[in-house]
Amino acid sequence: MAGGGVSIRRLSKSYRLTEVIKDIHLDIPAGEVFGLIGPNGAGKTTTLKCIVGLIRDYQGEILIDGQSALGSDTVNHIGYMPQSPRFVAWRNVHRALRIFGRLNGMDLEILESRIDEVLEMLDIIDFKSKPVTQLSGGTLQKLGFAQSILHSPSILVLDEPMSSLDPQSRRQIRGIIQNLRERGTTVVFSSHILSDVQDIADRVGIINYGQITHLGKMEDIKREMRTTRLIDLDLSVDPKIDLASIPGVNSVDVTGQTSYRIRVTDGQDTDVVIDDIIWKVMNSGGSVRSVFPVTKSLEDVYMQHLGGRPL
Amino acid sequence: MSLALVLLDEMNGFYRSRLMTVLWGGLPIMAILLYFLVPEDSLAGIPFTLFASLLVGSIGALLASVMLAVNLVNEINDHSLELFLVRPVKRWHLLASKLAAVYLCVTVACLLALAVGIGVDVLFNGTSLEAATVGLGDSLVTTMLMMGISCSAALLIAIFSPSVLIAVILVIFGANQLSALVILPVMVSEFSTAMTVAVSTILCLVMLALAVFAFQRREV
Repeated sequence: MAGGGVSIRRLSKSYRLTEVIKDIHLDIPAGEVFGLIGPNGAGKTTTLKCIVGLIRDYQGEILIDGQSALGSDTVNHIGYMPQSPRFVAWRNVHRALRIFGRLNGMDLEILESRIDEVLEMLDIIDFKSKPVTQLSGGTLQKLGFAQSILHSPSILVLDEPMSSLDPQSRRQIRGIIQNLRERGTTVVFSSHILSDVQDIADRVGIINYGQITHLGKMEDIKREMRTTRLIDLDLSVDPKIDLASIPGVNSVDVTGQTSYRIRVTDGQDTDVVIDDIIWKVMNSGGSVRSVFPVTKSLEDVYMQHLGGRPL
Repeated sequence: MSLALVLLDEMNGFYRSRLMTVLWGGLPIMAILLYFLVPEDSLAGIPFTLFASLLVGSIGALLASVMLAVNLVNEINDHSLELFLVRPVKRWHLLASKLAAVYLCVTVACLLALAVGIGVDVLFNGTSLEAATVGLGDSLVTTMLMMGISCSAALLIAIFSPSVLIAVILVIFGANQLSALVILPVMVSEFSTAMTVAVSTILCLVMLALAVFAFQRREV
């Protein structure tokens, strides 16, 4: 199903005196994969619950494809996977999926084949007749994901979809999300696993203390990750020259007997400074074992925008 | 459509969890045990069937309300209800289906127990069928009303209860006693059955309306 957009306007939510969401503005266009990252208690789950209508008592407005999220027309277009999906104990995998598909208005015949398709896609078809009480945490997580995509929703809201999965299963889910994006499904997800966000999100929002502190395209964040002011230099023969005197070098920290971390002055081209360093070392009778710019990880960017609050 | 689906699902749940089997077998067995355990002279002339129906009815009301509250609080607290609420299901449908499934299940169990009670009275006491069923109609209506009141109150309690334990305590000491308190004065002051039904139905409806209103606003 083609995607629908999500617009969040001045969203605020308080519990008694504590404001957990503060005036969030967010536009997620149709077909985008949007990752919401932030520390525990930052407001990720509350935001997602507002989008899917589980929390209805909030200030502001949420529009799903231009219609209020509180209306009944939008609910069938949304698929939601909670952080720790739970199912009533008497159900088995098949029965759990069947009731959800039926409630989404799926025809019984189509539903049965769709259940098989989704279970195969997630590699849990062997668990089809297993009671949910006998499933491992990872399989339950996959079942939670299965029920969210069963009715092919145009908007998929996933709360920590990969939190208790092994690397192979995480790759599987990432692949499915990428396929859904290609088919035009809008995906909004929260995650603590930054590498997953890096791999699948088109855009990322960093949320902290209930506010979006940074919003950017993944490409821009990746560019920011590549933009570095630090150079690691390791010399095989150290001429003991004053590296700080090289134009463009701001400061030099000694990190080993013949290794240094060099900070480039703002506004200077890091590649040019690297060339100058190599030239100066070689001309002074030294030789370079390695020199490379220190790239930031997504975690560094995340911490920077979070103001140092640990993940 | 969604009401029928969730009701069938709830019934299926009772069946699959074997709760239905326990109830439908347990209450009739209790009726038989009552016959052998209660001394005949302690009944003070009350037909055994009537005695059994009152006792089974009050146990049924207690069971129904506790089952309902535990079921709802559990599903709210472990968030399994979330997956229903993000689908095109009206919230009152979920409450109504839980209430109807429990009510239906316990009612059938009570009826089975009464049938067994009548059978025991006729077979072992030599009571005629007519004598064994004297006052049975009124007693059945009373039982149904008690169950209705305690179940409605249990729903209301469950929506506000933070834990299963608190819900069960409140249901036992609140909802269940409320049902008896409402029924007793009506019976003592010799109100007509119609009046009893009217008063109890109004009380049920008010509590159900409050429960639906609260559940619409309840964050799950």
